[in-house]
Amino acid sequence: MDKEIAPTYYIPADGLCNKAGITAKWIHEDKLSVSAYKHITSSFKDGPTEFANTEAINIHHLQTNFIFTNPILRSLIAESNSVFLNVQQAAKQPNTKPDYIKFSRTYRSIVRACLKSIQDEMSSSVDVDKTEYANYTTIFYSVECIWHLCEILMIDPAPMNAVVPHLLDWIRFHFSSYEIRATDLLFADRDDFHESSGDFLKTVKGMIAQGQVEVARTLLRLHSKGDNSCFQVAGEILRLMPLFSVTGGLPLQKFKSKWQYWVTDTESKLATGCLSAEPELEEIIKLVVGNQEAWINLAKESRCWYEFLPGYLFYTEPGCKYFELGTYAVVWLRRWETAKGFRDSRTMTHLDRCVLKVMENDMYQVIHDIQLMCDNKWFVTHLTDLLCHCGQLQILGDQQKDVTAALRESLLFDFGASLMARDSLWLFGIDYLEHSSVEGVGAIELLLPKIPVASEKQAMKIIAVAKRKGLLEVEQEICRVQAVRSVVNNRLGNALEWAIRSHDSIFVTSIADKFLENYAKTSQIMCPDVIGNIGPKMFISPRLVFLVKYFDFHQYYRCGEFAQASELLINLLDSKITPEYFWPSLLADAIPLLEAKDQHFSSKETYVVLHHLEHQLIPLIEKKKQMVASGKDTSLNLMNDCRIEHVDEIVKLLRLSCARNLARALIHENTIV
Amino acid sequence: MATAKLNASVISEKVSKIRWVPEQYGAPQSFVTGNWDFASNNVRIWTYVQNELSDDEVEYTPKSTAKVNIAGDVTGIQFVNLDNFLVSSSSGKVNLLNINRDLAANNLVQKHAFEGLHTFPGNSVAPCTDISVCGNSVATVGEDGRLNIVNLSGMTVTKSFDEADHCSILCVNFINHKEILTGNRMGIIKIFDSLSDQKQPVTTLFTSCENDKNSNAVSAITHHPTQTHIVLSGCEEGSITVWDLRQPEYPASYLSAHDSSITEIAFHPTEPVKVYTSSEGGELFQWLSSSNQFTVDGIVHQPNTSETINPWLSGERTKNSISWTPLISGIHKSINSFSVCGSKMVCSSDNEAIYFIDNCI
Repeated sequence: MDKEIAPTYYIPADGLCNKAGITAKWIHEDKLSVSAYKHITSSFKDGPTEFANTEAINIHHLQTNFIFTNPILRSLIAESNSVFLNVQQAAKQPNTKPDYIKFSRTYRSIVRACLKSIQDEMSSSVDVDKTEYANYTTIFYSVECIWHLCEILMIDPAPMNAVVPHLLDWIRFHFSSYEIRATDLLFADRDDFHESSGDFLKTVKGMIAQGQVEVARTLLRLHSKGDNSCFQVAGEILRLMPLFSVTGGLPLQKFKSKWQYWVTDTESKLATGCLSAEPELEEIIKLVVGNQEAWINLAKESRCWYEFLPGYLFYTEPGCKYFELGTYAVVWLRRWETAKGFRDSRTMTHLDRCVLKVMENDMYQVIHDIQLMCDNKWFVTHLTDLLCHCGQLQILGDQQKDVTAALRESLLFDFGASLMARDSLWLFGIDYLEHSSVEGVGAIELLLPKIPVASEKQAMKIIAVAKRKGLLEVEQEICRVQAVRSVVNNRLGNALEWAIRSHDSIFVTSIADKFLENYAKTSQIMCPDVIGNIGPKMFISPRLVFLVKYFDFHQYYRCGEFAQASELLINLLDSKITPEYFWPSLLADAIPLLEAKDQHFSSKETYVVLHHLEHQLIPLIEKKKQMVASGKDTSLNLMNDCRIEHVDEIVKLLRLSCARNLARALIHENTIV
Repeated sequence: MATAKLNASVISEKVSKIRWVPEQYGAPQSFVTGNWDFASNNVRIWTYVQNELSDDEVEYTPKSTAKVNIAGDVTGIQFVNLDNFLVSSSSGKVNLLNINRDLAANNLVQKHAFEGLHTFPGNSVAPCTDISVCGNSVATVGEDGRLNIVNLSGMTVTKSFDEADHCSILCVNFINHKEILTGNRMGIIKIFDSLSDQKQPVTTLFTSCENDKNSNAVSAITHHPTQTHIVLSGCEEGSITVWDLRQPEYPASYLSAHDSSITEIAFHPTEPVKVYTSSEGGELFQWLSSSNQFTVDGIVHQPNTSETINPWLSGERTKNSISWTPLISGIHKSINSFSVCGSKMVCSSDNEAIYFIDNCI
């Protein structure tokens, strides 16, 4: 393999780095962290190096160029993402073979549209970086060229695997100058012809070299000397030329003998010198019969090595199969190099090499080469994925193990991860991660919650995406983060709603505590609109159930519906979900109901109140007092309700009112009316 | 019935709001967009340029003629009159922008910026989530749960409901000079009276939800252009709840529509038998209600001419007289916003494309 020249980047003015040396570590796929570093071995003296504490240490982050920040190229990502998803969807459909050619063409048309936009941009606006755009053109031209070749050779195999007709199409597409010229000539006024300039026959030659015999013949007939005997003979030769056709034609062997007969016949005609009056024409006919010398002469005019390869094969090996193509290509390449006077392959561009490797079906090398293109791996990712789906890719790793699927997954993973790292491209990134391996889904789970969220709308957006992908944990984590933000912003109602969404029972409990503590302190229920509307969602946390039910009690009490209020209060006392700190407040709430003019508690209910007073509050107060005595706690303040100064007061008052109500209730219950 | 032609163009921006620029006469020529999730977001004005190269297939390509930078994500765009529109953003600001129709390019100018409309208790900026215009007043809502009414002639906040909601308000609809509807993330719609001094909502509506245990935010809300008592709300779970404000105790109807959050819901401004909804799942539906006939037990009844019940309100019968057709579906990414005017419809998606339907039936 040729030695690649690695691009060198110099760390900007940093004295320490220059003196001591540097070390680097990958942060992720395309980010490298560089800092000054002095390598220490066992022979060094133990102690600080001479650079210690001399200068400030800088940490440099190097990032690969990300071309998709450009809006034109960004559209490529957006559009190809949608095709990519369609491919994945189609591949999942059972029993139907998806139309992968259609997908491949869509991808290519996206690239072509992108190339056209780049051209338009370059020609229309003045203040653009022309070299930058020229670079993009080179990159995506290569992408399209290789993709097209892969498409005809692998995704859309011709019947009987005869590749030549497809190759001719491919070359016509990428070297269209002759065809454009030919079209001009065909439609031009006959008087405008400038045949003498040699341009005319050059075009005919170009057409012949691209295998367009019919067009060449038509052009010859248009020539002003068309009636000339030379032209007549040439026209006749071309007319008689047997055409290889895969469908409905002759069997290959029969065709070959017919072809050979025609070649011998034509060569003998040439030998008579019947065309020597028109040397250009003679050269053309020599091409048709596959005369080596003529093709070498033609090769000298070509711009790149594969320009005339399909044409040459058309006249010499029309039935060439894909597996033979590599051999023919190499032979042709050597011949071309000799014709051009090149010694070795060093003059070949990256694209030239890739084309050769595709023809040789050396996909391992192709994938390797196209990874080096400066398109942030857009091309290699999408092509590999598509080829994998149509089963046209087989990459063998160590020990001849098939690693194709793993390769596809890792490429998708890298591409997805690099998109996730960029501003606002995360939405596309997750699609690639999702369709890569199990690690991809794991990566989504890690990366999605890390997207900086500036507003709740954005959070909802991420949640919606997570929901669609079934990532419950991501959703819950984002909700938790939003809840904490709301707490910081002192919006407890909002925080409670987020916490409920997060399905985190402990978190909901802690926020519900804030409400209850605040009530104990101020006798005010915060955010009544939120608490009043929680509904069945309250069952996520017993504390929340308590809060909502207590709120209901409060509402009944405020509206004067004391019967319901007292019933609910007894239920709350008996519910076993009352938080410790709330006992004083809850029992204090019983006092006005016990003391009311109308009797609300029966004797049994009064016993319940008393029971809870004696078995919950009193032990609590005792415990607290012990703690204060032993110095573990400072005051009894926490136990207080704002309505009554001291907790002992509550006990005293409650005992009193219980006794009074009990007396009343007993009399009432034992009276027979 | 002509088939609708769909034109898609990738613009490399995630558009959160899109609106036609209204014209005094004739069909709209241009539209404005606001985007989100970029380091610097902007509002652009676009015109559709007809592509001459394509012959039979009529193709249009949008061309941006001007842009104005906006801090934060654009959350709402509403036109006040033909030339002026308001833009709300997640930076808590509301900007008043003006279109200069005499210029072909650079025809967008910022006229006024309202700041500090929405703040959290700690005085930090709260995102403004939606705006709704009624005459010369505009209602703004934000994550701080505040509802502001701003008068555009004096450029002042005339009324502010500080604690309109303790949960974040997601959408607002200024129905008439009196009533303002707000929808929050808990699925509660509150009606406020802009004229009274009371700071509490007049009525509170609870949206229905398929599963009570799921959270179901009100994500979009709109009202009938002529019968303003008919209100439609779109939910996070993808359903539509219909309300008759004359009997607000119960929803008039409930329809399952999409399977993901509804991003926008709107009546056709001039043909209110049509309703459009777009969803987070990448769908755009058109709902058509035929008030001419409705069926009960499979028998077609010709309604009494004096009986003019809007099919959206007719409860069970609704399901028979309202039909839907998908205009766009299966585009993998959320359709964030749409705007319809006459027979022309534009909509924008998170796949960074805008869609134009020239002939939406």
